[in-house]
Amino acid sequence: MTCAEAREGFSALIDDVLTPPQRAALDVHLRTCAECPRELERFRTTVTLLREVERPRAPAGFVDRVLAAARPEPWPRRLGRWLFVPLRVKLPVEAVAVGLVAVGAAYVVHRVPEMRAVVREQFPNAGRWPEPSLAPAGSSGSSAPPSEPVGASSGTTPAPPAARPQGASPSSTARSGPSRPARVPLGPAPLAPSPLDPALAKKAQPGSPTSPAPTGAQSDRALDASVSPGRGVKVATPAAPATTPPGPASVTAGAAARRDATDEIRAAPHVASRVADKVATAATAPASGDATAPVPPAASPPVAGRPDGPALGVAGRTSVGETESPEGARARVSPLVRVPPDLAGRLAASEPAMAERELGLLVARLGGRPTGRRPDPGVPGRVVVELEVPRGALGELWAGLERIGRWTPERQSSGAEVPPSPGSPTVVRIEVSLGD
Amino acid sequence: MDDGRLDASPDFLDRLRRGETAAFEALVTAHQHRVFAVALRMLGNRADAEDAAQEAFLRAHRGLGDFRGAARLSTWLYAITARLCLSRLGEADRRRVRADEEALAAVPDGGPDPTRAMEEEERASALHRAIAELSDERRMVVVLRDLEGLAYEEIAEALDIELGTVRSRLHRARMDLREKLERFLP
Repeated sequence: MTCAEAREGFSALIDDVLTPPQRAALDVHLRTCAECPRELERFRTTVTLLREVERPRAPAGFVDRVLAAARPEPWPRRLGRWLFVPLRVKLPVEAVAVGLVAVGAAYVVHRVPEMRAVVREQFPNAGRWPEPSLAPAGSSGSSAPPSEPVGASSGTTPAPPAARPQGASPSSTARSGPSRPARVPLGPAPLAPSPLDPALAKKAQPGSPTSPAPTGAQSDRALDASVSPGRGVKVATPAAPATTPPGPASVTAGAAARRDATDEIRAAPHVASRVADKVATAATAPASGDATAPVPPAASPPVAGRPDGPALGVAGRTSVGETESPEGARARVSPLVRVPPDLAGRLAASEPAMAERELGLLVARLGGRPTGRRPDPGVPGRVVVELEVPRGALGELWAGLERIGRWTPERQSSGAEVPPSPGSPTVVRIEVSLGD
Repeated sequence: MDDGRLDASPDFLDRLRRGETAAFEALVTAHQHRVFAVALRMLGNRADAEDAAQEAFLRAHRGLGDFRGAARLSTWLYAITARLCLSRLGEADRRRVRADEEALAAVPDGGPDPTRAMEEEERASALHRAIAELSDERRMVVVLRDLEGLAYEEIAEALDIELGTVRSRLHRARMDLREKLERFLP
């Protein structure tokens, strides 16, 4: 055994883990070598020094800290720590996430017809859903313009300008939603919530099969039906309007019926002439008793004599589908049937909301009525207010528009005699693009 | 409380596995200084050592269900602590040589003789520095064998290495220390 081999066994020798032959061989070398015994003594001293090192003690309170850390944390604290620790990192991230989710949810709810339907079913009395084109400008006391342009996928485009108020039959009245506010875009009445028609409330219950909540899906289906003639489209109520007593019908119901007729005509052009015949008769039955927009009988003049008034857009007592709700029918309006107004122009005002209110008051005072409201597709931020005024009041309306703001007429059909011809029995349809 | 008594207790493991707080407290109380000492020798400062020791006990608490009882509880705890320390040393890639005043603060008092105390202190300082300068693997074996008194087999089990590797590392570590402590040796 060499010295190197012997020294390799020093650790095992000190720890007494050598086998007997190894131990014997090492002992022989140590007896014969002069240096290795001394080296072994140094090695043993080193190990002794190591083993004399005092063991450090754990700090005071160590056991308690370990036990506290091992104790299950209450779940609210765990949750809080999981959510917010580290605060400066997680809080901004979570705030951004919440914001994105909120925006996404709002977008989905606003854009998806089914979601709107769910919201309406959940909150049947809300009635303030910002529908892009039928949003009541004055019903909520606000004239914030709708956010959706005309022709958006919502399918709730406003009534065609050619729509005329007709005395709604009891059936059409009943088909108005019981809790929906009347959708009268302008006028003095919208400042107050629209009261319900008693007969309407009696006949139609929320959620009943005959008066389901209006849904965008229905609108879509209705639109599909309108572009697919003959697919489930029929004339449902051929009752003559002249024989219908002018009951407490709301403008909304009338508008719904008008849109029914419009879609009906689009869906089945062959019935257009028949509808027009009925409308000619119905035009003599003015809408009355509208609690939300007290339009005097004079405000619902007959339309038969309108120069450019085709049968399209004229209300009749036709409907599409017996089971379709009035809201659904009301939403069944396609921009394809929009008939150009007799007169159109732009009204610039520093406060469009105030101007819109004044315009509503003016129209009501002149015996006219608003027929629709929608965002101006050409100019974002502007709204187009659709009006009907007696032809005789057109001059006064003209002057009133100039008082309200800067009135710039842009379109005038041959039928709109401006200045008006006093005594004309017809009404003039006007579209005012309102903005600042 | 003695580790042997704890391990010898017939139902102690069952109490631990049931999550009995008193049993776990007894375990921590009995082994806190061992675990902390290994962590301090390996990591070099008391704050890191306490954190590692606490984490080792928490891991033991969570892993009690996996402890089969083949080894002593102390060996199992050493194994957890050793792996934790080596992992932290590897992650941090921290400096091995630490003239760590905190680690050296555990040097025993030399006694009333000032001269001898100074010599003792100097020797102890050199010893601790020499230990700290060892490689992690060698230091771990020396700590477990010469400072904590584990058997070769226990070290092999705790570090999950061969017995021959334990012997080799231990011998190399002791030789390194012997060279570093040359001037204090006879």
